[in-house]
Amino acid sequence: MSRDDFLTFTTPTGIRTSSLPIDFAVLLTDTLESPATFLLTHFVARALREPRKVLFVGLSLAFEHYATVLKKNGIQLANERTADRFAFVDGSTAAGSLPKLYEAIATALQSSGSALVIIDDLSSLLWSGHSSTDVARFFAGVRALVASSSSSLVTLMHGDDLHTAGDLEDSHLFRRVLQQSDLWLQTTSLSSQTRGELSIYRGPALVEDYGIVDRSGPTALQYKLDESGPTFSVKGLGKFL
Amino acid sequence: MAQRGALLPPLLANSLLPSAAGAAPLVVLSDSLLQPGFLLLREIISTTLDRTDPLLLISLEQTPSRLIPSAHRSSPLISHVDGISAPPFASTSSTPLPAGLVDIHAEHGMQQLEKAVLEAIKQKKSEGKKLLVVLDSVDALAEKGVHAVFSLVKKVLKALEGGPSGSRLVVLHHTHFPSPPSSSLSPSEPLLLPTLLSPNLSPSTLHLTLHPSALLETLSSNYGLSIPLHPTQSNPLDLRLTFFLESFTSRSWGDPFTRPKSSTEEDERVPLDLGGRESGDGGGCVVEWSVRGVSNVPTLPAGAVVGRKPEQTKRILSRGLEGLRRTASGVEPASLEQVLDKRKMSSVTLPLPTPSGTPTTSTAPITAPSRPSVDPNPTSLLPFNLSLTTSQAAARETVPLPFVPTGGVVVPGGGIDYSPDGGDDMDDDDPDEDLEV
Repeated sequence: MSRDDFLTFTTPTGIRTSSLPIDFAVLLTDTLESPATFLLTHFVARALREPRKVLFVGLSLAFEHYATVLKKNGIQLANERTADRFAFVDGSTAAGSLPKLYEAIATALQSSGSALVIIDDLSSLLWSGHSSTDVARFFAGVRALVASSSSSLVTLMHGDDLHTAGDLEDSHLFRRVLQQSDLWLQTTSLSSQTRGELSIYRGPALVEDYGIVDRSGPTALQYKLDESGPTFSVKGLGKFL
Repeated sequence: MAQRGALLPPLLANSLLPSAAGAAPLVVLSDSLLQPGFLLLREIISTTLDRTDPLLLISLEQTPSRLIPSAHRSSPLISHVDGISAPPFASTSSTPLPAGLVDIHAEHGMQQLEKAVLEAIKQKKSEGKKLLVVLDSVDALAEKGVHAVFSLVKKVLKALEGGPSGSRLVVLHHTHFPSPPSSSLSPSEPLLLPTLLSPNLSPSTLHLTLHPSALLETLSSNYGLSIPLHPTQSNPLDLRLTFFLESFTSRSWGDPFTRPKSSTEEDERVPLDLGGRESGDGGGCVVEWSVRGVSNVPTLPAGAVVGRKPEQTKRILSRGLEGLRRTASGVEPASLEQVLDKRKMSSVTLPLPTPSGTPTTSTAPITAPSRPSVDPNPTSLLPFNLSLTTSQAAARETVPLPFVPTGGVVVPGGGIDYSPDGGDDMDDDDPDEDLEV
């Protein structure tokens, strides 16, 4: 088992694979103290190695940022882009218009076919002024696209304000998105930005049991970040995966 | 063979006994994050299609392929009103949506939805069979307001009325789903669940609520509620159960997302898994049902509603608890024994509060399921022994008591025998002698 395999699925034929199933949505939430961008780059690296096409919707950081991070994993993102294995939808080109953004994603998916779609991140749409209803509609549209194109979806949302009494927009959007997600991955910090805990919860939409080990609550995974990426360990056992 | 429950099997077989008022044409299935209702909804759809009865699926939340088992995907029995595949923000009055797609958020979207649904029902009804209409989910529709939900459900029920009895509308409802904060809805909006369950909407309604087994085990062992694994007339479910379940659900008991903040705070989190807690042959959960207006629910005693007119049964509410168990292909009804862990349930039960005005037949406490006979002696329920053996009683008799005279005769009257010594100042005069009272 390589150090990548913190999340594996059992296919109907019984093989364990790290590849996300088709028509599958993962919701990833993080906080300021435990940012989860490392998980997104991890998913990209894993997919490109399979190989599987990746469609990255970048709404907060530029393409160059991910290119720099993935260089450490030995992946030249610019090359992957020219070879049509990696597509980047830049949020700034849509200039804050949700319909335009949706169109851009639909066009990209049409040309690439089945892909791993990654959205980084949904909260920035909310914070740039759109209502939670509109962002939820946008997400539902992307979710339907993913289903019809046999793709998989990973969405990042910032979970800092989810449990505060004041913020209704965040929790409304979170609940709507969670309802259509198969899996929820949550990072919480362990007093430093490089050490944290990753909990894996099944989402309300999950129908098939892919043999995903339920690592929530007391049996969450712990991770440590360093130059080369994350290392995961099972809490309390003191050994790495 | 374990009892499989009185309500779920006939519901799945669509054989809830019809009465003149119609046997629950509206079924509200309430689920939660802790216990999603997807698998049960899929099972209801699957058994309907297996019986070759038609289905109308109104999708507003999940992709329809998740709800329809793969064996029936392209069946002609299925009609579909698709509210999720339409591109969002796309429809304007100048560019109508492709046929068969609806966007409830578009202008006139709700009218289009109602029109599509009623047309589909009319078409399916002409086939003359019991039609199942499934709405996934009512909370997605409630984004447009509770009045929109009321209007659509009422119209669907009216449309189903003329058809064969046994046609029903099943709606999926999520407990405590947040409503949109930035909407133009008035603050005095009616609440969704009471609206769905009100007699104004449907004369006969079945409400199913799913609960994780862990919640009932906690209520039994930590809160002393009487939850017998085989409820009967003489050993019924605790009357307070419904209110405890509601109260615990509304404070998000077991919410796996709320971590205890310190080691002194209790960790109530319930681990989430697919069909409920794993228990040997598959996961399981508990289904709490409450039905109003169905006159022949099997668990009611035979004499209770016989002879009543159908209008009188409209407001009679009966409740129960059953199990639901995951199998390889879906879920199936199960007895409570199969989904609750006996070892985690309490073995001592408290006496039920007797309602005032009814004659108390006995003040005996209700016994636990492991003791079948009613024992009038309360000390028999204690885990320690208060009685004496014959040898212990004989030994007790022979112990000399210290202040009883040796002859065993006790001086009557309780007089005080006092002999003063040299230091006492004894004056036998009456100090009140000179008082002129």
